[in-house]
Amino acid sequence: MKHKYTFIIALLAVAGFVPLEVHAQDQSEVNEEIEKLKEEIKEQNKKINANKPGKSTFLLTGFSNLTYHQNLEDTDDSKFAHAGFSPITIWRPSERLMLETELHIEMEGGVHGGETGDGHDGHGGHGSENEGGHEGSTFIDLGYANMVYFLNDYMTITAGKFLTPIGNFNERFHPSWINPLPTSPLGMGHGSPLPAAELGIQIRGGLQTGISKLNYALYVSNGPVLEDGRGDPERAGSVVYSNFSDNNKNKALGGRLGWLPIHNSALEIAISGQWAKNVGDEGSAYEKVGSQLVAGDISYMINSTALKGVIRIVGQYSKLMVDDAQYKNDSTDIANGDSEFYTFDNTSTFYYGLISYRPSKSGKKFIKNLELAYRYDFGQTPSDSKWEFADARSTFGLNYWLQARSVIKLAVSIGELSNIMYLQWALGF
Amino acid sequence: MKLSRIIIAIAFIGYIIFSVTSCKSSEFITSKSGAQLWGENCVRCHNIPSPNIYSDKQWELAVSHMRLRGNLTKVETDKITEFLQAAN
Ligand code: HEC
Repeated sequence: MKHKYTFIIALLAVAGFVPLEVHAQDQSEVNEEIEKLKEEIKEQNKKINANKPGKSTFLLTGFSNLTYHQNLEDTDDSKFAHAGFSPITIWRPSERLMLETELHIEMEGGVHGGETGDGHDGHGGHGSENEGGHEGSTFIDLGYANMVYFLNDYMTITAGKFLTPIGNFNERFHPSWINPLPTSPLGMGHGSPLPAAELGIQIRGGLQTGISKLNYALYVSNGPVLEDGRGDPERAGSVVYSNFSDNNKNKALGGRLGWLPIHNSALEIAISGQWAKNVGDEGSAYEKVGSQLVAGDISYMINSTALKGVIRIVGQYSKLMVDDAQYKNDSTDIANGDSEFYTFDNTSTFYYGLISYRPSKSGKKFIKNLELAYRYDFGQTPSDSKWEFADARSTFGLNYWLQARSVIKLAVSIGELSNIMYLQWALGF
Repeated sequence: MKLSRIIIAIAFIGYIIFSVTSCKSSEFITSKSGAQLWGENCVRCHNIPSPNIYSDKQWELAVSHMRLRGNLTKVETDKITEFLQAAN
């Protein structure tokens, strides 16, 4: 009997303990398995985190173009005249902060005697365009580098080198995939007499006023610098805006006010201007020379079913006035009988009007991608200055759009100084 | 003109703009859909790129960039971004 109990107890013990033993062994295996998995998850998380975009985001975009140029009066003057590559980066470290930068890398073809520039800059009183011929060259320039803070719904603050909001071309239409013609209007574009970008601070924004909209931009910048002729007598009286070493304490104040009166924002009318009280070198006789720049611009879009497409009309009128001053003639001119000093009415005028039509509602794909454009532009610098320049051009263009930001443009420009045919491929990326 | 006077002038104009806008909210824009605002605003300066060229994150950046360039309001920017993120 005793044995019987002992046996039962032993049996129970075995029955109870053995599975317990197995269970314990299982548990430790499972634990090990869990630890392993935990490790694996940790590893995976590390990998995921390495690729996680986070709050800060970055976009690389930009545009490039290649322009071929054929002088219609001089068959020898035909070349790939201009190649440009302009990468743009946009970085947004937080919801309200943004940094925009644009770099211009440009290659200009050589110039045969007396040509007046092309493509990237709307010439007219700028640099060495009327020189007797030079080799091609490459430029690298900062288009803009601007820190942006979206303060509230209606106001954005920016600081840095920003696109000057004077008129509409330089700020809004300068990229080659946006401008429907291969050249910039006279006086406009990168490196031309009207300011393209300036260093300073700006506030800007837009607001709804009933069915219409208003937008504004106000800025303080280093402003222009007067070339008083002591450096380069040939440029005496001209002003240069790409001014990073401000030559005096006075800043320029500028702005633009735009009005979009129609409910669908198709029309915008704007006025803009910039005032700089002193543009001459501090301490020089030119210190008190001031400059005023005024501009008006318009853009209108007609989306018409009857015309099976879109008609776009844009234009800008701009006038740059620099106070009169006495500039010194150089010694050879004086020896030839000129007076020691001379002066002139220092006013320059630049304007353009452009109309384009794209039959985007046509049923045929080929026709849909075509665009016709016509622009009249005019540029005149002071007639008694040593950098006198005047031209008026009519440019006719035929474009084929490969994509929304890629276009092949063929254009003929008939000007008072030259007639040129252009072929350009522009690509936004 | 002294810099301080310029800053005061800017602050003053800014204040006027701010006070005018804060009382009148943009009901008109609010009544428009993101697609409509996209169709109206994004064609003003250039051909309209297709929504599928960018990811959601990239559109946030591109439209913020255009908010700056085109002086768009925040309501317009947000609605257009949402539309593009849904349509890409
Ligand atoms: C005021 C004119 C204007 C308006 C309005 C405008 N754009 Fe642009 N857009 C530009 C210009 C100019 C550029 C070339 C980049 C620059 O500004 O340097 C550009 C560039 C772009 C690019 C290329 C990426 C980039 O940021 O540079 C995209 C995409 C784009 N726009 C989409 C849009 C969309 C979407 C809208 C509507 C919300 C819009 N644009 C409204 C002028 C405009």
